[in-house]
Amino acid sequence: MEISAKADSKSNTIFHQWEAESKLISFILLMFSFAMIRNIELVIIMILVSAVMFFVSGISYSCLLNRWKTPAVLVLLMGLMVLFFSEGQILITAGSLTITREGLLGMIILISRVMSILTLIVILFETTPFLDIITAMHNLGLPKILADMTLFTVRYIFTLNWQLKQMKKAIILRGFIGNKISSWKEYAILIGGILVRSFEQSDRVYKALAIRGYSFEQIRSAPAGWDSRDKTMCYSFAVLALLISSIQVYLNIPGV
Amino acid sequence: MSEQETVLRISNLNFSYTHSGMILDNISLNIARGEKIGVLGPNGTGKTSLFLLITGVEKPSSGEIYLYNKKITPGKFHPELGMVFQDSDDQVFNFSVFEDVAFGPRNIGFTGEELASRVNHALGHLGISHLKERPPHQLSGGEKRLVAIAGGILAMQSRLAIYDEPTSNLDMKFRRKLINFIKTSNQEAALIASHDLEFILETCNRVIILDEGKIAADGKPQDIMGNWDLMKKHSLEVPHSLWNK
Repeated sequence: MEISAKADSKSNTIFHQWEAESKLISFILLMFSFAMIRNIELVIIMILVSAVMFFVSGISYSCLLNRWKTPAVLVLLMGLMVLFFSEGQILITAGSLTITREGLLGMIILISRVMSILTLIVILFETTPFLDIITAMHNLGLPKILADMTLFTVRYIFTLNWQLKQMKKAIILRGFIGNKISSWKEYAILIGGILVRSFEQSDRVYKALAIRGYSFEQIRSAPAGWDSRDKTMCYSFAVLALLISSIQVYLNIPGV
Repeated sequence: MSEQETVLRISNLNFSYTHSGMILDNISLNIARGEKIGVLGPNGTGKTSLFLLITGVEKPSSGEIYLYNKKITPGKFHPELGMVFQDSDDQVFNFSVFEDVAFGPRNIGFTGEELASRVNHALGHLGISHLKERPPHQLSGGEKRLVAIAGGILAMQSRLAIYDEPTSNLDMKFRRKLINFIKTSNQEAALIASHDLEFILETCNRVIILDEGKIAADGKPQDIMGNWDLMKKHSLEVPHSLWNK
């Protein structure tokens, strides 16, 4: 996740230059339209759209695969449940396991849908500074206190993670072996210690902010404003999302 | 000391937390323009509490603090003073160095070119312009400290600078950079708490010893820090560079 406004080697793509608020709206619309898809014909369009966006975004394969890793396992498990527990026209039977046509289609649609939406999320977060996303969410109605809490949580996760690693190294040096079931007690104490530290640190952070004039009013940049390119991109995505949703609604009509 | 020369005036300041005893006991202190005051003392003697009271973040139990003859009101924003915290991670909170340094000036009301100019000037002054787009959590301890100084003092153009243990966790290179910066900085006055006595000796022209919530000594650095009995009495050591003087 890109959390700063850093300019990497591929930060000149159209997605990187797109203003965060209009990008967020566009991506959300497209994600909703993807979530509505129930037909295999539209799945192909969805995968094509996601693939084109991925290539245009300039994000590396390794980055995408890295972000996909954990959710892919969960989605695969859900897909297998759909595959083996759906009723319909039987295709293969092996012992007590039965694969139906509906189950197979259901699995393909489910996995494609979730992975396509996940790809959009990866593109959104990899091409937009986190701070800009929070600002955009706030401008779109996320309460200020929640926006600030999100911002601080993400910022200090790195610090807390570092502290946790240091504490773990320190207890390993004193003979702690982390792979035993009994070591869960030590892990619980470590996490408890981190929670207490984070509570104390939050107090110090608040004081440091107050000295520099923080009053829950402004910790982010003002929105940059939409230019004609941002508007064009947003309208194009809205039309695409509307088109996909309309086709899906049309295909759902009985007899079509 | 004339009224015009006085930067900070503290009168009969008392402070305690609800769950503990007296932290600061009837502190009175005047700081004049041009003074760089080293605050010495063992751990837990109230140095950080004193600084937080001066900034208005903590509320005193009794007593008054005046900055340029204006009373410090707890809870109010006082852009004339800036503070650098002991742990830079408590202070450098934003997602890019630029945004973090811009935080204070933006709260003062600066925007656009003026804001960018303040930030760029602060970063340039400390030689860290190249860090502008970096996320602070990826910086080294020394770099974070410089970002904290840029955001907490320089970009705010604070007139009174407060440093709480500024050399902790710094390597020799950053420590030297910090010494040079403090010696040449154009803040009107500075308060520096540190256990690094050689650092205090190099940067300050006045020293106070704070012990058990009271000011136990106040004077020139060489006189105070070269006094073996006084230093020992307050659990301090004479800096090595003063041993043969």
